[in-house]
Amino acid sequence: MRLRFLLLLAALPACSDDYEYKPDPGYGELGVGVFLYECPTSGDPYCTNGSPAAEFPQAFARGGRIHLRYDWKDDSEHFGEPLPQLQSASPTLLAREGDGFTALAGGYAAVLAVTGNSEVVDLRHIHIREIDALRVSNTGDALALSELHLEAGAETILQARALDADDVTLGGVLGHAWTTADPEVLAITAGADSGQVRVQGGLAGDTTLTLTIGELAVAIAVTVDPPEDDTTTGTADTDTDTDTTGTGTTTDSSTGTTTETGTTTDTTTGTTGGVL
Amino acid sequence: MTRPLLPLALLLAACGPRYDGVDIDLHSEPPVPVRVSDNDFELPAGIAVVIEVKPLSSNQFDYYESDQLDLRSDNRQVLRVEPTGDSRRFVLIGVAPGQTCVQVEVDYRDRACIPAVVTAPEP
Repeated sequence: MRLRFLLLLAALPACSDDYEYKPDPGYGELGVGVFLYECPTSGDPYCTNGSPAAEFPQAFARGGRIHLRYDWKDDSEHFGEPLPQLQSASPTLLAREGDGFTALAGGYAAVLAVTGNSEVVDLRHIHIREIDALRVSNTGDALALSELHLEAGAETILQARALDADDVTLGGVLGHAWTTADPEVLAITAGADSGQVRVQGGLAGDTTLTLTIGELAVAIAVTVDPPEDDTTTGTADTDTDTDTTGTGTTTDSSTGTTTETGTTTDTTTGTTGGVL
Repeated sequence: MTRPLLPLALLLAACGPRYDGVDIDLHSEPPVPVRVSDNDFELPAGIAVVIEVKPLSSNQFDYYESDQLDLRSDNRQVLRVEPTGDSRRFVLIGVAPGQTCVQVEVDYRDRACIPAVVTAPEP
């Protein structure tokens, strides 16, 4: 009986729930430093405020631009030493271009930290994957948004995510293009070529917002409601037209506020930046 | 005068290690399987691995850390071999699919050529 009690006591610490998740900021595989993933442009889901990502992306989108910076894990062990330069193991997979890399083909590609005397001091493999789907979500939320309701005059910011076949959000700067089918109903006010777009509700009505990256696109239905205190937008202002042409009489009711229904040619298109 | 020195020189030469191959171990954890042995290397393009190389001696004299050791790829477009801060550790880097040979140099003499295969990138 006493033994059972002791065994139970011994087992209790193993059941404690004090595990603390610590994200991997990009530690090198040789333990010397850290490969920091930076977002030089706004709108990346991994680092929204321009600082390095707190967590190194699990995978990167083929075609994406990848900005990395290397830092020593312990500066005191490398006092006065210049930081290593970053090299790609395979330029056909990951090409060095300017101040970053471009993911050219799917697969694993090592990034090497190389000192001035050509010694490799650290390395990190990155996984390059095809974009399988696009997702639009609210900022700070990974869930897919299939429809958006806005009040006229209200603004919101939406986040684009490129996903691989395993539903992993891919890192890398991509060429985004946001378009609204009816800019009178929903206007893009900022970020038409960014990973984050700011939209504003206009006239009450329905439209669609489309995100395009390369050959992939996703559209969300948008409904703009009139402001709650607005009584001038007369949905009750119903006209009744009586069509007397032809035989018989057809009564065609339409609401007076839908003056521009069917005008779909006026489409705002964001410029496509980046590499896709 | 030179005659008495000749046996001494021969004796000194015989006191060093006699090359008898290399012992090669994988010293990093790549995300995909690779083959690293004393006799061959096989890894996909894009993958880099750290190996530890130890020259073996067939006589009673072992190689010291200070004994010169270098590895060179015959074709750096297929496989690169780069030094690290440790004179016995090297990084094998699969650059592009193909075959090549890694020259092993010990005490400034080419001793062996280890065949290496770089396969297509792992998806």
